[in-house]
Amino acid sequence: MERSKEKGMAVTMNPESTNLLEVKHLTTEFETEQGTVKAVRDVSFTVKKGEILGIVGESGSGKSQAMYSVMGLLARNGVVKEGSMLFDGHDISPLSFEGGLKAYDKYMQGVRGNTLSMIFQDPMSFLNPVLNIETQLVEPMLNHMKISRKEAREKAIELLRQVGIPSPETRLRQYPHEFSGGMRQRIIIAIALACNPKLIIADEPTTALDVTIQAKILQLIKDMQRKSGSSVMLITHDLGVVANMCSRIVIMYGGKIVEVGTADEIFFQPHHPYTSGLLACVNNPEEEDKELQPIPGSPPDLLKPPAGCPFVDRCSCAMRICKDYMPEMTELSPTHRCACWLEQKKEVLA
Amino acid sequence: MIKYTLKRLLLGFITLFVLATVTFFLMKAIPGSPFGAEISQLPAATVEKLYAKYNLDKSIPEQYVIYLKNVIRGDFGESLLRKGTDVTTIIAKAAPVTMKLGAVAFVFSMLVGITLGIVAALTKHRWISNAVMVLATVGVSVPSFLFALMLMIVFGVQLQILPIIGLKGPLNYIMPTVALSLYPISMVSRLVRSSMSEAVKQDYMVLARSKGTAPFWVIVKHGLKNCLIPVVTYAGPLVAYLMTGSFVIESLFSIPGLGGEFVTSVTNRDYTLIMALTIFFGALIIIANILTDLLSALIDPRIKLEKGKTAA
Repeated sequence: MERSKEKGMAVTMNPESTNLLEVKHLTTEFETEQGTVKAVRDVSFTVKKGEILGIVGESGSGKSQAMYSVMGLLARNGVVKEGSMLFDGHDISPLSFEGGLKAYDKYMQGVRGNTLSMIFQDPMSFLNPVLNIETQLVEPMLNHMKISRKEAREKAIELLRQVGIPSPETRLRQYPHEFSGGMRQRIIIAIALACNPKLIIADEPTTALDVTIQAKILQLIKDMQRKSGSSVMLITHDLGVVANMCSRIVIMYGGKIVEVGTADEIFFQPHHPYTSGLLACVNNPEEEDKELQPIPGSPPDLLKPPAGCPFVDRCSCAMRICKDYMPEMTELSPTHRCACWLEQKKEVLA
Repeated sequence: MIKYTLKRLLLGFITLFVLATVTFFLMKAIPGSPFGAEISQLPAATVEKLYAKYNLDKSIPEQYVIYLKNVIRGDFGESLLRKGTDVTTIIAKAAPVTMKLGAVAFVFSMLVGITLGIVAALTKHRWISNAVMVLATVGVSVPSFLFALMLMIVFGVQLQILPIIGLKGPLNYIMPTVALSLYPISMVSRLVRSSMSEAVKQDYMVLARSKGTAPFWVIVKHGLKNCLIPVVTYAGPLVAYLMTGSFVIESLFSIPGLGGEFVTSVTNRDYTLIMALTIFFGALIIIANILTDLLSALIDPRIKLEKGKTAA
């Protein structure tokens, strides 16, 4: 019943709306045999209520680990070193949580899958192969809602129908290996939606899927977001994916945020050379003759992160200062910020 | 599933028939006779009569046909040594003793083995994991009679807190159970440790945690079921092994079980008892194997029982 009410209510986006998630100076490190990997370095961003925020960067840029830090799902050797995280007005940083780590774990258990949920990358490996769909789908509901197994089952059927799985009653009793990749991703989405979360973190939800399925899954996420009015963080390495989805986009590189802006600002006035480089790699059907330009070189080694801008070795506009000093974020507009010495120079000259 | 089980049972009967045939001829090939050396002192006529009574005067193929006919009628014959006692009575008397001990040892080794395996896989302290693995290595390499004797010396003789003989009370079960379980515990904890340390790295464990499921239930509900296939594969033959009894353990603790019967029947050339026990053990192993396969398919839906058919 609640759900149907939400369905009718298309939540309009309000740029003035308050922040649902605020992450400040997040730094996450991993202890490995080779040394400490500084995966996320001083990352700050906010997610507003009801918006879809895109986080774009190549593999190893720290985008996924930043999300796992927020969820409290870091691998054993990963640890949040610095930063504050505020979700729905409540502190969710393991560093500053009132009552210490134990209380943090307990609190996050109540948050995960409930108000904060996650859609994962690979539908082939993220579903448990030996448990049927029903067991996996009712689990978050039984964890967080005060409902009976039977009611949870009813809800599960309804959820499967919503994410577009035909004959959900029979499908519920089947196992993951009896579904196609796209169907499994729909199930993972259903699991994430089970408790009507306020924020859904979608970690490369289409990367492992066929191109033909990708668009459908993205549309599904967009539809569900519109219906429920929840916020979505869409993590991807493909600017093309976020183009039609996101109101704002964060560009990450080498564990740092290099540019933040609205979709228009990122696509039409990219300021960071890395963002421009990424855009040159996106296939645009309107410019068929245009040759795609790969960015030469490879991302920095985060075991020994560079002191200056992480992009310096691959940047065509690199200056001497870039190698040794990290540029501050420059505000280009109230919504547009970029960390590049080129912008700082312009500011000084102006 | 029912069709599959019936098919396996039918195959099992054929296997038993082959087993009985091979055992019968091998058994007859062993030199010596059930009547021992003193038979030479008896008059020739008595000996002839004796042989005739047990059909031992006929050719071996003839004996085989007679034996099979009797078995099909459900008559396994009477023991050649214990006059007037049917071998089925002997088995019916010894089997419960062995099976009770075997069942206790099985449950004990599964519980302890799985727990130790999980602890070794998940502990943050490397020394605990190492300790379990050392124990497992020792458990595999120490012969059970040595371990049983050590237990008896320490708890039975020195400390005098545990009884050494028989299976009268619950206390009597402790030492033989532990002695029987040492090897299976080592095997199971090894299997669980390796598969659990693989399972915790799997993506579906992250998804389970992302639902807000408590860490304990993530391990039990999502991890353990994925670890059980190798354990079940090992547990099937283990059940058969424990149910047939260990001659060593039974003799050490003076337990009147099947293991002891089997070994003495061979040394005594008690032909009917050898045959009956062989068929009985064979049937146990076949049933254990069928159960293992059915259980594996129940645990992991991706396992197909029959080729070409999808598990539905």
